[in-house]
Amino acid sequence: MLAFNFFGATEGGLFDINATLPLMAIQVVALTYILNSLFFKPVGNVVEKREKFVSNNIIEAKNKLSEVKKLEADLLTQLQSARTEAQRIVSEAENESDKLYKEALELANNEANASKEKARLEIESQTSAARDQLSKQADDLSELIVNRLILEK
Amino acid sequence: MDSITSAASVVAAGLAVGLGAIGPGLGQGNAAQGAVEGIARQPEAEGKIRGTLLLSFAFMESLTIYGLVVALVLLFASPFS
Amino acid sequence: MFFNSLLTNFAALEVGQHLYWQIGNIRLHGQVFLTSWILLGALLVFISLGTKKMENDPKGLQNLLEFLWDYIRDLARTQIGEKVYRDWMPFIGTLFLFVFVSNWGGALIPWRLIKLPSGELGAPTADINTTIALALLVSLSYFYAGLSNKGWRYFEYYVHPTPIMLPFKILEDFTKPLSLSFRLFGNILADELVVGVLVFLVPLILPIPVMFLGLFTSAIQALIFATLAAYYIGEAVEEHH
Repeated sequence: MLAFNFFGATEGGLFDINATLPLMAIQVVALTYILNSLFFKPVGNVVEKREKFVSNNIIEAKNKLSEVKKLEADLLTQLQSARTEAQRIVSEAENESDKLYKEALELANNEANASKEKARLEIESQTSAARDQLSKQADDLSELIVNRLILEK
Repeated sequence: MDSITSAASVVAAGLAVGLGAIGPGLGQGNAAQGAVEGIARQPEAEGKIRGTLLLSFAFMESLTIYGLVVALVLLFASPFS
Repeated sequence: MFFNSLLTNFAALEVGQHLYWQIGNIRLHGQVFLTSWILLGALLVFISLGTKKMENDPKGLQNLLEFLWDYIRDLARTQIGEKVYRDWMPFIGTLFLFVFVSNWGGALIPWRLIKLPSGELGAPTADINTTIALALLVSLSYFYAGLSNKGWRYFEYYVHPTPIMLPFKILEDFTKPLSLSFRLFGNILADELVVGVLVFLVPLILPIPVMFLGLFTSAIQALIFATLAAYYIGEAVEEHH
C-alpha cells in the first residue's frame, strides 16, 4: 500500500538528505574563516585606511578653508580701513590746498587793492598839487592883470 | 505506485504550480503599480524604488517556487511510492 | 516510479540523481562537492589575485573587490545596525559570495559536457543539502548573535509586543530556515529545469533569454539570502525598549 516515505528520502531522491548537509555546513564555516583572513580583513583595512585618510583630508581642507575665509575677511576690513584713511587724507589735502589757494588769492587781492589805492592817492595828490599850482598861477595872473590895470590909470 | 496515485500526483502538481502562481501574480501586479506611481511622482527616486521592487518581487516569486517545490516532490520524490 | 523514469528519459533531464561517494558508513553527494570545490577554488584564486598587492590607489581586480566589500558592508550595516555589523560582516559576505558563485557557476559553466557515472554536475545550491546547511547556519548564527549580545534577555524578543506572540515567534524559528532553504533550492532548481527543458526542446537561441533571466534570478536570490540572514541577525541583536 502507500508506504509514507518522507520527501522520498531514499537513494537517488530529489530530497535525499544525508551527510552532505553537515559537511557542507562545515565547509561553509571554514570558507567564512578563510574569506575573513583572505578578503574581508585586508580589503577592509585598505578601504578603511583610505576612508580615514580622505575624511582627515576633508577635515583639514575645511579647516584651511575657514582659515582662508577668516584671512580674507581680515584683509577686507584692512582694505576698507585703508580706503577710508586714504579718502580722509585726500580730502584733507584738498581742504588744505583750497585754503592755501584762498589765502594766496586774498593776499594777491589785498596787494592789488593796496597798490591800486596807492596809485589813486598819488593821482589825487598830484591832481590837487596841479590844481593848487594852477589856482596860484591864476591868482598871480589876476594880480598882474589888476596891477597893470591900476598902473595905466 | 498505483495508477490512481500517479494520476492524482500529476494533476496535483499542475494545480500546485498553477494555483500558486495566482496570488504572487496579483501581488506582483500591485507592487509594480505602486512602483510605477512612485516613480511617476518622484522620478529621482527611481533607483531606490527599482531595487526595493526587485527584492519584493523575488519574495513573492518564492511563494510560487514553494508551489513548484511541492509539484517537484509529487513528480520526482513522491511520498507515496 | 514509472513516470519518474519516463519523464527523465523523455526530457533527458536527470532530476534527483546523485553521484554517491561512500566514506565508511556515510554517503555523500559527490557532484555537489565537486562543483563547490571547483567554484570555491576559482573564487579563492580570484580573491587572492586581487588582494595580493594591495595599493592605496586601487586598480583592476582590487577595485572590484573593494566594490564588493563596500556592497557587503552596506548590506550588513543597513540590516544588522551600526553596533555589531562588524562581527557578522564576514559571515554575511561569505553567504552572499558562496550562494552567488554557486548559482552563477551552475548557470554559466556548461557542466553537461562533463559526463559522470551517475547524476550530473550543476549548481551546488540546487541540492537540498546545501541550502538546508546554509539555512541552519543562519539559524544558529542568529541564536548565537542574540544570546552573545543580550544574554538571557534575548528571549524577551519572543514576548516582545505581547506574550500572545510567543507561539508565533517559536513557529517562526522553524519557518525561517525552511523558507530560506526552500526558496533558494526551488529557485535554482527551477531555473536549471527550465533551461534544461528548453535546451532539450529548442537547442538554439531560444534558451538564451531564459538563461539571462536565470542569471538575474540567481543573483537576486544570492542577495535575498544574504539580506534575510542579516535581517534575522539584526532582529536578534536589536534592543527593545
